[in-house]
Amino acid sequence: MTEEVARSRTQAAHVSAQKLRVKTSILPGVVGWLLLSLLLSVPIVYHSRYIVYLGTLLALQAAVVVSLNIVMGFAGQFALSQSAFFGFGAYASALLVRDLGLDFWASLPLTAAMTALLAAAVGYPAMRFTGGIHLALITFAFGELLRLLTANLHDFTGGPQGMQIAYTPGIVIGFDFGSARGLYVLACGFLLLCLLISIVVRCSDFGRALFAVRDDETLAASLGIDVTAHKVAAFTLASTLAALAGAIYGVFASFISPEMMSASDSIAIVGMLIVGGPGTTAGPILGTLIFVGLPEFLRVAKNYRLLLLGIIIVAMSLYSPKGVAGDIDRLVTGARRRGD
Amino acid sequence: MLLDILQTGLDGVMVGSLYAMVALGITLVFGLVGILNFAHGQSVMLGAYVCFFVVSAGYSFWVGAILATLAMGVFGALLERAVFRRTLGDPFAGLAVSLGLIMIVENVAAAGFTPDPRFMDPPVSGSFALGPLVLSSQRSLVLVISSALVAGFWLFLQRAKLGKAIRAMSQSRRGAALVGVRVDTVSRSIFAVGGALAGAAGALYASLFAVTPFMGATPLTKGFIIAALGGLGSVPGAIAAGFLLGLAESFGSRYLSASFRDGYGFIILILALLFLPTGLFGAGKERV
Amino acid sequence: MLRLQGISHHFGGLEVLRNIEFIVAEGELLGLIGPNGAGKTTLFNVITGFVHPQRGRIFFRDRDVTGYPTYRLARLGLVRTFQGARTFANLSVEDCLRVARYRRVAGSDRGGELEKVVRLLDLDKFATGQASSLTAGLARLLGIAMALSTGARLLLLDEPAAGLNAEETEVLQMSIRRLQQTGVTIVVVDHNLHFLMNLVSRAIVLDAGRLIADGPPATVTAEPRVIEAYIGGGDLAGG
Repeated sequence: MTEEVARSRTQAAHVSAQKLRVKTSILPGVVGWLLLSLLLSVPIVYHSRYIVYLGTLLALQAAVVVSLNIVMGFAGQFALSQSAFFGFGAYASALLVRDLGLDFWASLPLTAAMTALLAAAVGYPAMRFTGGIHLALITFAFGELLRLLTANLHDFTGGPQGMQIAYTPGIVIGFDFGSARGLYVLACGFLLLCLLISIVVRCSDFGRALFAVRDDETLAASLGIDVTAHKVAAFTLASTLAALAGAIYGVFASFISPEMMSASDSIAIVGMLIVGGPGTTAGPILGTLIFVGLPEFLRVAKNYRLLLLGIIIVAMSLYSPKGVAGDIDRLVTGARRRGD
Repeated sequence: MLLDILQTGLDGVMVGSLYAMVALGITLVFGLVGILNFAHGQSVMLGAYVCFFVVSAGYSFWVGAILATLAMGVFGALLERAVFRRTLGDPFAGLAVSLGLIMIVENVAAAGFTPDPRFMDPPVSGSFALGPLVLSSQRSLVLVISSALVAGFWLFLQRAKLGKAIRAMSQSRRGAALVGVRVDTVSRSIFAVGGALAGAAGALYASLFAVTPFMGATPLTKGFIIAALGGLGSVPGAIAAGFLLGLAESFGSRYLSASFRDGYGFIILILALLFLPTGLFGAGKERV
Repeated sequence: MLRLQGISHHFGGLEVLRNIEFIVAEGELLGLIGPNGAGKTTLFNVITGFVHPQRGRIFFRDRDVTGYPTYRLARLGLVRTFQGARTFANLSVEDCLRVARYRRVAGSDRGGELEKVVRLLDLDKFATGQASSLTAGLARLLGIAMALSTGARLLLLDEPAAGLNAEETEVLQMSIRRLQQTGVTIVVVDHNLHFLMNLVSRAIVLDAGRLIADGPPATVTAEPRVIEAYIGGGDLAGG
């Protein structure tokens, strides 16, 4: 056996040990989705204000991580602008309501359209010419720029003090979406929608192409895939979903400020995805639960919470690069193999 | 009017040289191992605290500054050994790790030092006249020191044995190994030197601004902008870009909008990354 | 099928390709050889859209495709493989092929194609395995299979035999011959002359950026210019 072959064999083995096998069959995804829907409906039945509040927060946060997963987990593009679009969505929706007299629901499709345009405009030049670190920097800079612009356009946005949101989603088909439970349903509904989109993308040809782009752009191009178009599409989709989450957050918190667009939030979202497992369907959910839920659950003080998360991220990156979802998958696959 | 411009310009140069010090560490590490060390800003913050505590204990600023530099040099080497060494093959993991590190260091500092801003007495105060200009003494001192350090570092890279080894490694790791450069040692030195520069910058920051556990974010961001603008991996690029950014911010704040100060840098960064992916002199590494 | 006209290219001050001109007919099995540094890789990259030639034109199926990006060429039916075992490590073998079919050449026949290709290259047993778990030889075949699944009319193979042992090389040779029989035009670049000369019906020789010979292998390897080009740089008979 020649040296090169031996080397490439060990390389292949090493790689397979590192990477997570992409599963593209739709059944486990759908089953998981149904289970989650069931789980999410529990707090509605069992009345607990705290759980409903926390649940709404978690659901919106998870939705943003799910959206990041599409561009970072599937397409492998390092986008640090999720929270910037989150904030953009909140502001866009609020301004549409305030200045154009639309109601909350009508503002959503417009917000989505505006975000899509912005994301495509930013994404296209960014992804055409760069990748990897350069892209991380550009999206990071763009996010900060958006934040600064928002904070500085006092007359338009209320400046760094933020804006009050005085309206609510109101009553639709007899259900008050403005109430605590209503907002919870709205948030969870949106999360489930994002997950559904994520599952559908993952099992589609488009999703497979994204994974191909993630693995090897040059190879993908040589097989006829327009790499830039795919990257931009993923980025646009992810940013639009994040923006819609932001719009919902606005009515939930009744207050928005440029701080929503902070880079450290974008970084935290990346952290959640990494911890949970990028590229998987369950990863974003697990990551959010661990990141946000665990410290809440353990009731640690804010500083220690972030410290704990930092430690988890470092530990995960060094010892468990596929995230929690990856570990679970490894255990399950290992058990299955032993069972044969 | 001319005076005003000169004043703004000098201020820009001073800020720029501070930024350049931070950027050097970032650009070197990137050129070497392809990692954007997001935790670099923490070295600045810790350096500032070291200097602050030393000065509060009664020693002179110079002692504080030197200790800050040394301490952060060691810190850098430790980080390389304990953490970044493991992530050499996977830039994604390296990035993730440095993000985690920021959170750890920042919050340990916040817990340990309390988030209250600390103010350190600068070694010199007041202002002096230079012809028709009135300059702040401390800021001028910072300008002199940081320029000297940057120039010194440049010389080190050109003349000293270790410096040349570093340059060789940033161009080609394998090539450098072939000519006998001790790759591991040099890697560690790069992190150490980068850390030391950041520590020194921290001490200088402390002499001018308030010291808080979260102060690392700004130098980090500026550092990234400069490293990218100058061409990731290029030292002369980082130095030139540092001064450029300092000047841009200074003039932008003075003549356009002060509250948008940080924004100028971002605009420059985005434009640079799109149109000058290899940096100002085309000396940086291309698509990563 | 493919026509190159006046292709010239230089990097900095170095002229890498000088006025290269040749035609590849449909259904041919052509070899591209030359000593190290002759410009084969650059020429390969020029044809496949990775490098835009500074001078000259390229015609593919009577269409001027000079300057087209790689993915567009692939959609038209001009597809290449890569050196080494380059696949989508995280995808299963099956999915790799599905990705290849995603943007297949307009008008190429669908259905059954996937199965045909897989059977042709004996990859069926590995269909659900992860691409990264294949041996180098099989990964090479997968690379070729992927290129084929796009419905390619012109396949450019970049050093397919590099690093393979004798047995794997034979399997490769057989596979390439079977491919040609299905009507695909193939151009192969390789250093392994023994492998190439037993495979192709026509060879083009490059030296220092210039095309110095063009014809059947036996004739080409006997030409004095070709022999001279290889002295000190390789071995015509062995591999």
